[in-house]
Amino acid sequence: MRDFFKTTRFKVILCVLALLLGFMIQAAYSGTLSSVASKAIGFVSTPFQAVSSAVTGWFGGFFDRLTLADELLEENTQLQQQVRQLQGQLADLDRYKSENETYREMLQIQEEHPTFEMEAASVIARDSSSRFYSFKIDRGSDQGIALQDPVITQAGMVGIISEVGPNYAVVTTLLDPAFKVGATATASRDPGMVEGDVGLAQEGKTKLRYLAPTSEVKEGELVMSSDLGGTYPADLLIGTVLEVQMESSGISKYAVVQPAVDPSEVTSVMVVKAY
Amino acid sequence: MPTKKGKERFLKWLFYALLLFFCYIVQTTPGLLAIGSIQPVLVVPVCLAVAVLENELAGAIFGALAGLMWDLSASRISGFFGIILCVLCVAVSFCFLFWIRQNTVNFTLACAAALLVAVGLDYLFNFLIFYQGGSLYLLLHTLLPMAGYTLVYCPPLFWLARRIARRYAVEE
Repeated sequence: MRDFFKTTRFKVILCVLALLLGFMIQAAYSGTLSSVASKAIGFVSTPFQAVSSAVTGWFGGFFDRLTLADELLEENTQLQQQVRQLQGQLADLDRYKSENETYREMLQIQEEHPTFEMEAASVIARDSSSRFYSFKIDRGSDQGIALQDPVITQAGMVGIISEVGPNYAVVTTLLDPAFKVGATATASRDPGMVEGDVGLAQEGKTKLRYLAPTSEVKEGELVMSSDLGGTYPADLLIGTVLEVQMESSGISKYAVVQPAVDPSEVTSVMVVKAY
Repeated sequence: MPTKKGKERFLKWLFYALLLFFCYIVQTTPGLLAIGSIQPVLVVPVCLAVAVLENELAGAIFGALAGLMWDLSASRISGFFGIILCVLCVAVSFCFLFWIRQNTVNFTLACAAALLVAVGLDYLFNFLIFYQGGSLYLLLHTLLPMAGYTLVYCPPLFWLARRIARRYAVEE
């Protein structure tokens, strides 16, 4: 065993460890998580992950039709009852239509922001040990995606691009404590910062921090991104305020926010490349 | 002109590499082999199997590769799991060379120990240091269940790797 430390194999193993350490230093120096080796692995694996993801999705849909037939029949019966109830509420149609138009103005991203240049992408890989439901998409720098680009769906903001390869990118979700974006509450117009919280992430929630002690943010208010700092575009829906509390320091308040999008369930997203 | 031995060696390492790559694709496919949000880390048993069935250098290289793949999929800094798995594979290789008999049960136990070490170091350096006690739920509800679920796939992966080793065994 002692002789092993004098062998060529041991020296080669040391070289491998030094190389890995070099990758780690390169990744830390570049401010991302990835090194040249990671980008190469990501580039090669992305097409296979896309195919695997598509095939798994197809099979999942096929077996769902067979195994969920009873559930679907019961759901159909319940839905028919609901339709009968809703038909009795037609008198409120005008009010619903007016509210719907207000929500459309708020949430219809393309109509609100015609200057957004977006790239549609599919989620092709997740790892259960990944931090706070981060995932990989099938678009990268070849399609003009860059670090810190916001990632959204029609329902709202999902996260930001934290790593980019030629044909893939990794998204850090808004549940991650590393995620920070300037935001405002729509009704009170109080500014703050949405920041992930480890404790709240397990419940699928995030935090709107640094609210003034006199803030009038209330439960039920929508939280939208602001363009303070110029990093992210304004008026992207982040979520809804659930409750407002005073920070333990007593200097500011924070709001618990229910994200508009569940990052663990998304299957397709849009990346805002320019705005 | 490649010799028969050279061809056999090449095919053996090619199939090991393909097995590792295939397991990486399977482990990162959303919903595949998933129980809830927990999916197994299949690259760990594969690189440990290579370390057990071959030698410590092969184990170190496959451990490094498997670790780099795991770093990419788990959004860890590149090289983190690479270094951990590289060292673990060398250690496991020596254990099976000198002290432990090569069989499926011992291999599964070795995988369990290796996964505990890897998951423990991951929790220490990526969560406990930054978020302290608030991240304990991640260890109990994500990392440890993931490690436990991975053990289910150790016997079949060890069997596959052993098939490759025996099929392309080269007399030295």
